[in-house]
Amino acid sequence: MTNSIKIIFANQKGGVGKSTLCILLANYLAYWKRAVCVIDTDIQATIASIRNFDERTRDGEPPYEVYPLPLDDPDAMEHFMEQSADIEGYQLFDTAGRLDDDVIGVLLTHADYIIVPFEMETKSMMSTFSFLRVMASLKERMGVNPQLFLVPNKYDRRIGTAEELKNLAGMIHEIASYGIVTPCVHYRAHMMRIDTYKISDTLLKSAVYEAFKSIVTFIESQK
Amino acid sequence: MAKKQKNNMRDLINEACGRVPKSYKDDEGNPQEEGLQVNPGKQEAGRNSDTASSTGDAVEPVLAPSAGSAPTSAKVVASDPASENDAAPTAEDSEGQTSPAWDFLMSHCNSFDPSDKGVSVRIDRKVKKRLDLAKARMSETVSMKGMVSAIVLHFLTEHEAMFKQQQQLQEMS
Repeated sequence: MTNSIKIIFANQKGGVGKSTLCILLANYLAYWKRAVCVIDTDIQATIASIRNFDERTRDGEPPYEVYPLPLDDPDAMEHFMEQSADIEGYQLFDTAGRLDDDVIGVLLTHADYIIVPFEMETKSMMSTFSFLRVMASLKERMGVNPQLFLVPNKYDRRIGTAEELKNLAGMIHEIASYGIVTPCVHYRAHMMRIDTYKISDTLLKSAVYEAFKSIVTFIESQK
Repeated sequence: MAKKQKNNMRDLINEACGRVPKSYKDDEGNPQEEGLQVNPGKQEAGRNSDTASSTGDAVEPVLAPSAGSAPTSAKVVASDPASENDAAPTAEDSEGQTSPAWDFLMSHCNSFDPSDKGVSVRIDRKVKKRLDLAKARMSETVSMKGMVSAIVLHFLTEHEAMFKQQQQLQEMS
């Protein structure tokens, strides 16, 4: 039995908010006094770069560690995932999300939970559907069963006609067959101002609260 | 995280970034030249190359540059001098029996059959060509990376074929 809780943020569609939500979830977990670290496997090293900047501009100790891990060798990643299973706490992995990445398969098959952010927009959802179908195939073939959380991100209720929203609701209904659809993460300007030291009250109490609460509650009920 | 756990994690990260994986060792078990990174899956698969999806840091001397970035571009065969006379291996070659990944791929190769619809509809020639290419790729790849990209290509091509077929059915009705 492993002590770690490995959560992978993945979606082949770029710009859906994988890195942002990874940072916010880490901040949220740290706020609620959970042991957490972030492992940035994305070659862009978005989160590691933000942390480097924050260390120069913020005071005090960071609430969690951010480790860059831009491996492209599946064997090395497999070894790391196995060895890190004994380290207690939440391990959040930010990924490039590209399905042609060498190590994404290893990450997805070793994950305990996979968070798939997506935008409530047709093109984004079509791409997400394709990703989820591949995920379902991988799960079946590799004999693993990580729980998927599907997070509608950047939701702006002002956008969309009644017909469009109805169509989106239908797509949400269909996407729910792949995993748990969390409450929406509403678009907030504060999303552009996140850092890796703390979560703002605005985001904590409004934009991400319901979604993260549902995720963490589910995870901790499985312990 | 407790300090001890942080140290353990840091050690693992450093080890993962610095170690020479077994797959990088030569036949005598000696680590290969530092900085040389070869995807073992590509070596074992014989030389099937996916698109130029490398992050750019790895050096892949056994592979010729891809002709294009789209998955549907012509398949590139790597020119490894040590084994260029070898036929492209299959899952059976490596272990004498098919692997689960191989069986899965082969089952998906035959999953889309337009005749199931019960209506004789022409498939767009370009889409048909891409579908055949996707099937061919799926039948040849054995690495995880190849499997994932082949699945993606097949699903997307299948989706496109079905969409166009639906369009034709609508035009006929």
